[in-house]
Amino acid sequence: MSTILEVIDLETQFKTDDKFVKAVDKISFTLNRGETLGIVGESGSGKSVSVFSIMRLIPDPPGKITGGKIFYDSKDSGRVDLLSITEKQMLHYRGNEISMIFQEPMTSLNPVFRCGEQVVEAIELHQKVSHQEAKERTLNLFNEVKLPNPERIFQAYPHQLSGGQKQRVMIAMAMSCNPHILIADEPTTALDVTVQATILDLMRQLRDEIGMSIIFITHDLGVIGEIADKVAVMYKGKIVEQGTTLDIFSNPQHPYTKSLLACRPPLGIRLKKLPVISDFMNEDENGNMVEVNASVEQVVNSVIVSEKETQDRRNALMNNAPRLRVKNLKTYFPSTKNFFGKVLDWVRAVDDVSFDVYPGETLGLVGESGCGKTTLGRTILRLVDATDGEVIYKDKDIFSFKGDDLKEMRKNMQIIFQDPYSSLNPRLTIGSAILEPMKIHGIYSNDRERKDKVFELLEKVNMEPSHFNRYPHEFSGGQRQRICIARALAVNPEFIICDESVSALDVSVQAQVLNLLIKLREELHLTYIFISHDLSVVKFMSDRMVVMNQGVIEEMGPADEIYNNPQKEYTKKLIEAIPKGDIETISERAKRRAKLLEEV
Amino acid sequence: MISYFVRRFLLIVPTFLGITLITFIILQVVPGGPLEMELMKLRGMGAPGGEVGPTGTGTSGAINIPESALEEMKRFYGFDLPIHERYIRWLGNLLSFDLGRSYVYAEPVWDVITQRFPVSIYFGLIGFILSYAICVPLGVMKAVKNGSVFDFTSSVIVFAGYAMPGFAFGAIMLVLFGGGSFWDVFPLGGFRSDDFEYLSFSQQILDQLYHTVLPVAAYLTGSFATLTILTKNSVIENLSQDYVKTAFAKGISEKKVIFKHALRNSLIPIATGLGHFLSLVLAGSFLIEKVFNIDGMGLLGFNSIIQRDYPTVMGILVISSFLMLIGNIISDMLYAVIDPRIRFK
Repeated sequence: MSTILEVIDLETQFKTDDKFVKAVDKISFTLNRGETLGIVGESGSGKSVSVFSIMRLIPDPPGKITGGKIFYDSKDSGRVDLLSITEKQMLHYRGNEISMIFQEPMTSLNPVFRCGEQVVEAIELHQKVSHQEAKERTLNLFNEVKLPNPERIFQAYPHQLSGGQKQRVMIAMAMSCNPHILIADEPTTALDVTVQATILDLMRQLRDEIGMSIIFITHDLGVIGEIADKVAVMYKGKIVEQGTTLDIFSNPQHPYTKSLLACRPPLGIRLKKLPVISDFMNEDENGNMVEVNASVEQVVNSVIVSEKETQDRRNALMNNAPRLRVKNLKTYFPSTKNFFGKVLDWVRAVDDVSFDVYPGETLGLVGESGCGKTTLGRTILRLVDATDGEVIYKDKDIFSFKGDDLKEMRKNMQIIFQDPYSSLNPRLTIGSAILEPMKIHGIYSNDRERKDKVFELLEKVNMEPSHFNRYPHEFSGGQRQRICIARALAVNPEFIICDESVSALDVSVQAQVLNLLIKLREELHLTYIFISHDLSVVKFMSDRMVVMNQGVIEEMGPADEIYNNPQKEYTKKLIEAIPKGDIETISERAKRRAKLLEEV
Repeated sequence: MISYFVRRFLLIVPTFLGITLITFIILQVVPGGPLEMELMKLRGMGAPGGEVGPTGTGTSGAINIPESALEEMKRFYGFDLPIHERYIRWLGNLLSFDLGRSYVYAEPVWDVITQRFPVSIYFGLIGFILSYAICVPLGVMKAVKNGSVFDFTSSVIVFAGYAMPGFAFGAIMLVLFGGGSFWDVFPLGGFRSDDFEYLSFSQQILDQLYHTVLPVAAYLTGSFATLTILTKNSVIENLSQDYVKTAFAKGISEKKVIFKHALRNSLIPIATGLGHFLSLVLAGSFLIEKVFNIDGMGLLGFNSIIQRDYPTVMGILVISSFLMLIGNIISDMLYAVIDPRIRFK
């Protein structure tokens, strides 16, 4: 097994406000031919900056590679230090011998060029072939990445494809010049769990066939378990632990690695709350790490909930009258209209859905993108008009509310959205963002009292009162989502719909936000509808679970029961897609890969 | 999408009727109409703003106008009919492509307007092409070198131009280059030299350009800022997009990334203004034409309003609003052509 890439003491800095921050701090690793290296860490840990440094794509200013060597073993020109060659020489390697795919398939393709032409461009750039040959190669590639109807995809513009299809086009583009190294920067993070499973499957297959090396970046150790041969764990710009995937999963050393392993919602068991980083490590006043000496098992076992406890809780909940009843709800959108605007055909986003939600309960709503779960949530809140059916909240028909009743309902029922970046007004300080709903609903007599309440809320969601006068862009995704939660809580609601509220967050941050939601549910006696595409998260959060597909309910029941004994094929597919990260599968895969790698 | 544009074209009719009806009523109802002006002239009081009046003044003493003559004049101007009938009659003539006769020039309005087309198209087109040819590359340069000395200085110049009215800039340039106390480089005004017809072809071109430089400069000073800054911001925004990252990762050179990938997307908001090139035939600015002594559309429009030359005012309005409405639709079409994501329904 020969080394193809050797990174030695790589250091990359970014200039912010006249001081330099080390985004990557002297990291070293090697990548062998045919091998897949996973780099895992949370947002801001420096994992993307390290691979952008390898590609020499760090924007300068403000960034600069300030030290280290990156030796690449090229087939034609032998061993070169990528950091000491000219930009023009670098163009030969970039996209040709080392190629890259990105996190956001939605925005990674140029919207004004046809998908096929974008792949053809890459081929023509690095290979001496005619346009016709390049086109044929592209169609073959589309076939290899299992795109349906390659001819149509070739002619399509990016916006006409789904997220998964776009990521396949990106993979085809990256594969187009038979690269020796493929760098994948969170290629599945923006996708549904089911689509993620198919993309991982495709990447594994292509890798085994072609024998290329992969650097796979993700925040999710579960995904690493699915694809990587070895792992580098990054934290604050440094690699804190390296090893084979099997070693990392079965015997993690660094507390940060342990917390990444423990913070994923577990599947076989039920937990009171998810383990988080602070269960494994803390910082003292000087910012040095203090390790809490605990193993993953110890921490997980300390929060486990027995089956009887789960049963008792559910029985207690169902003893009350339902707080919300949804009866035969339908929401249709016009899909085609004739010349005079008469609707000819409808999209049945929600089609005859009925269920009850009990006070204090969390009802999970799970399904793939486009299954109608978001529309359902919004219809319940009257953010979208229903076509037919009833929503009864505390024995009153929500659709009949007008004026003050409607205002009262808006106060009682809140929603937390998916994207914490766009759901906060960038020009409002977070203090005034939380204060605004109180003012609208006339809660408290003056701003002085309201401000005190904002301070209280900020503390409740684990933020500092001193954050009051700061703006959303100064916060991380997890912090922003906590601000959104505080804003939803400002009007003392009874009922909250969480619409994919943790889907945009890292798994380690996701765990913190989920724990917060559970804590608030108990403290404030809240009732949730929790919507997500990830069955593992929904199962962890909910008492009962509704599986939705194409606007209708596939099945409904206690969360653990549905997971342990799914009745429908669709539910099985959702469960199948979750990266399990169990030791047996990983060790079996490792054996198979070892054999393959010997041949390379 | 075709049905969308069919509907848009059909909507031209009511919009057009609305525009003309409102203008027609306002024009005819305000006091000081052509009849009053004529009477004042006849009574020897002199017409206000009569410096450009075609009829000679100089009749002395008050004249009593006989009732029959007054009726005759009313009929001439069409004031013997109620206003709705006047509008309908005007509209009927319009449908047979008859814009009426100008009161002032005593010629068909269509001829009065079209005589000035060449001047307007000439200056309009040159200004239009130059502003895009200069602003787009300048905007791209500024975006690529954002924050540099070049970016800063060009911004200062562009905004200074924006802040200065075109006619004032024109006047300053005439003082500097028009052969007064400073340099004698360019003529003081006019569209062409008087002996234009006797010049050889190459001399004609030179003569035309010689007369063009200063007015075009005056037309353009204010139009740089918007387009340049729009281009710059648009390019900067697009350079930070993910697909630009993809393009770099493919191994494309920086130049090609900017000009092939980023620029095409940046032009989307800019290209939508292109639909209005149709309105160029009516381009003109009264003040600049006045400064440079050019007989263009700006002067005609201004004078027709001052002299209450209703048919000419309405004629200009008809042509300009029609071209504007068509131009809007063309802009939308261009938008859909350039950006494949746009689908009108």
